[in-house]
This record gives sequence, structure tokens and C-alpha cells, in this order.
Amino acid sequence: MKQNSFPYAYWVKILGIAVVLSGIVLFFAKRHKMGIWDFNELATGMSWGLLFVFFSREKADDEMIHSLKFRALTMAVISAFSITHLYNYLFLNRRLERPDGILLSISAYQFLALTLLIATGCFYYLKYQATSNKGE
Amino acid sequence: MRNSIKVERARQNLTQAQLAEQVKVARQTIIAIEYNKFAPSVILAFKIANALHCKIEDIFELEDDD
Repeated sequence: MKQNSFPYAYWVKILGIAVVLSGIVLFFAKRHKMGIWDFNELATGMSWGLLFVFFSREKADDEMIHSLKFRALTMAVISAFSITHLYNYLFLNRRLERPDGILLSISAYQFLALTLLIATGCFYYLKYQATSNKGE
Repeated sequence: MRNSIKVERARQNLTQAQLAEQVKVARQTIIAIEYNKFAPSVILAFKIANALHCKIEDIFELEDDD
């Protein structure tokens, strides 16, 4: 019985990292050229890049990796949704004062980028924890 | 779930990498199972038992809180 694997090959991770980096470079280039912080453009690049990084196969893709990715994604969706809801409630609904250049609300792209960022970080942390022998 | 993979592996003179290769998982997965940080599926548990020439119940044992 073979479990379904992730849709992208391992090398797609490199493409994902390149997309994230180009998004960051474009973000700072726009800031330098036009003087604006375009968080939507940054989020677009980051969400596409992190989508490739997170949903591509690992070098050795087995059931532990699948289980850790599922756990990481679960934690990420819950925490990113809580952060988004709280942020939008405070700044969009309650109209709390915010410094210049700070977002009014978190958009769908920014939510996806935040979710995938947390999921990717959580996954590598869980993987490190599972394979380190500390505390044994 | 407790397991005695490490003991059986040593008895059979198998390294973690060799066992991982036999059951087609990463070496990190064998490490995680040996240190009780990951509970394998029934299929993987059977594969490990087969590779170590043991019965599944000789290697894996339920704990009280399982």
C-alpha cells in the first residue's frame, strides 16, 4: 500500500527559494525606487515560493515526513488564522492607531504567506526535534 | 508505544542506515522510532519486524497510557 506523496519534486524547493528571494528583492527595490512598502507584492512572491517549498517532496519522503508536515500545517493554519483575525479586528474594526506604512488589514495573499511561513518553520523544527537525541 | 528495535538491530548487526534501506524509509525515521518520538504505521511496523526476523509483538509493546 503506497501513500500519496507531495505533488512537486525535490528540486522544486530550489525554485521556491528563488521565488521567495526574488519577491524580497523586488519588495526592497520598490521601496528604494518608489518609496512604498508593497506588502502585497512581497506576500505574493512569498506565498508562491513557500507553496513550492512546503509542498515539494523531501529527499527521503516517508510516513514520518507526511505526519510532521500535517502537524506543522495544522499548527500553522490555527495560529495564522488567529493572528489574522486579531490583527484585522484591532486595526480594521476597532481602528486602533498604527504607525505610518503599517498594514490596515491582512489580505488573503498575506494570510497564505504567513500560514506557509509558520508551516515551513514548524516542519523543520519538528523534524529536528524528532531526529535529535536530546533528552533521552 | 515502547520498542526494542535498537536491541534487535544490534543483535542482527544492522546499522540504522541498513535497516532504513531495507524498509524504504529515511534513517531519521528509524532514529525517531527508536527514541519513541514517532509511532510507525502498522505497515511500517510489520516491515521493520520482517527485516529484523522477529514477530511484531516481540518488538513493539503498548504502554499503559497508549
